[in-house]
Amino acid sequence: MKGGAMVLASGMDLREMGSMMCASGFFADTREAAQAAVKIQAGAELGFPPVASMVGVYIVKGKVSLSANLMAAAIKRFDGGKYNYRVRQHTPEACEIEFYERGESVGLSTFTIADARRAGTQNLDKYARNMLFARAMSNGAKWFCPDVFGGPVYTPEEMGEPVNEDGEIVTTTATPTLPPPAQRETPALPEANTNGNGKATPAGPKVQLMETVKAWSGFATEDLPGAVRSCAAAAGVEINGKMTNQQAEYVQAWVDEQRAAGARFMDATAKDNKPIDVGDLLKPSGSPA
Amino acid sequence: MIATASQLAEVHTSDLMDACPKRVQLRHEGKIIGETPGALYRGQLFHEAVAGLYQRNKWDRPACEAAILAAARVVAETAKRENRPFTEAVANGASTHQAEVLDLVVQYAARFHPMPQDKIIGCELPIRWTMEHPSLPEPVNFASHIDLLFRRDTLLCVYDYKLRQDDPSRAFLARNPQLGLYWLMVRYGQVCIDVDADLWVAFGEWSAVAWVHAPALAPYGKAYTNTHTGEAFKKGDLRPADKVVRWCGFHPDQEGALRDALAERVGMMRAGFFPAIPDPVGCGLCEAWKHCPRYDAIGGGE
Repeated sequence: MKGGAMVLASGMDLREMGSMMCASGFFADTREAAQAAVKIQAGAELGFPPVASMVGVYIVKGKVSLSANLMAAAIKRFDGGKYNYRVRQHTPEACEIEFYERGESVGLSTFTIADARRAGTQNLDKYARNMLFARAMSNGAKWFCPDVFGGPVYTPEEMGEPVNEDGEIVTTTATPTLPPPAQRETPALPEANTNGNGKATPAGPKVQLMETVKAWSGFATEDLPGAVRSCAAAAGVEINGKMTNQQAEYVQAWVDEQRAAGARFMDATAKDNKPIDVGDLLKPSGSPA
Repeated sequence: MIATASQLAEVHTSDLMDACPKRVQLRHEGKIIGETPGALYRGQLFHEAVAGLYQRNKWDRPACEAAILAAARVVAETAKRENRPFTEAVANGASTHQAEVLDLVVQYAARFHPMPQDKIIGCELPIRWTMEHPSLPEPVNFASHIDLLFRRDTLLCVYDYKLRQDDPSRAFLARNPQLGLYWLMVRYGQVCIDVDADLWVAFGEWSAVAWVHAPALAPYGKAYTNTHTGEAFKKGDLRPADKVVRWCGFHPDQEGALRDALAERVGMMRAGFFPAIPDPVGCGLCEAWKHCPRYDAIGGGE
């Protein structure tokens, strides 16, 4: 193993170590010994000791994902310093990292706020610099250091997991409760609800987008999700899973621009139509122009 | 233990029609037996299978058989995920349950699959609504799923599939707060009609709500003559369509009365009023029996 031997304390084997880590209760995202053992093994293959693996290695949808700092550490320690990197730019608007192999520059990995909004990156309003760094690092790892990880490597956030400012998966320590029989858990509203008393709380980005698209398309209520998806596709936003508020804001900006230009819904969302580029409409703060 | 307002910040539609309020309280406290008994298994099978038919829009018998098999897999996976293992009876008799539910699903597919004027909006759709009422210090959040939402011509329609309940009378349906709540939720609440993308819409329309009585999909088991109409049925004849799909006929003029009834029940629950109402049969099947007080030498409960 390069860059750091895996040492299991006091002769424990992987199973025992996994049991101990799990039983400690310190790792809220790992509830079973087998999961802990897999994390430790996955980390060991990258040269990380058990505790670092418990903290920074995640198995999401069958893929190994690493927090960005663990990824960076793995790159620096691989094969006696084969790879290195320097952060060339790190602002709330963009992160640019230059990668080196044996001391020679092999390329730049840049991730901008516009890229992030298009990808639906989480936590941009709170920790934009951290999130941009994580994506620039994971892209650079894939592009310039493929042998470090033996294949594509992802951050948990890329895999769609909720993360904190350090890019680590956010888990709840609350005791899970069973839903009563025949009472399935109803997902939370993504934004404000309305009530039957004529009062409504401020609408979130998705509600606002739905209303705008309804006014523009003239579609029936039940057809609005399809219309919104058409707008997203025309705006170059790929909806895989839940649409995020950032994606909604991006699509909203695109719709507003199309409407301001006098475009009709059917024309603007036609598959063979080239949409107006609205990349410049997005302010650095994240609010659509 | 008395349930607090925060525990009841969210009320499920089925809470409102439970025959025994004590069971509602114990359910909210998480004191339920983690098992899947036969009645629950059959209900879940039917719901999953019918949703599968709508999803694939295929309605012949092979499609129904495939839907039942797929539903059985989903129900088993759900039971495992929720740590709700099948009872021994279900584990040993799963194929019998599946065959019985298949017969109902085949009849549903043959007789009630979408008509040309029907536009299916979705199955098992999450729905939410926050209701305010003068008698409630805090608004109440209602949450549920709609079994089937569709538009027939211009009218929005809601189907609620029922497998376990007794045959409902017209008078019962007209006073049913659970289905009435669906009606208000569609009118004033938000429905997630694109679950994958998490897109919710507000229809803002009055709908027609129907209790779909699945047991009535089975043919008559013996000869029967309707005393009101004089219509005679032989053993094996199918029951009339209006014995299966029971429209509730809710009217906007009665909205206030329905809101009052909903608020009254929520107020009772928030005040900790959960009397046990023993049932000759139901208590032996209740999923909360371990935690419900009894007064014999065995005792039990809290």
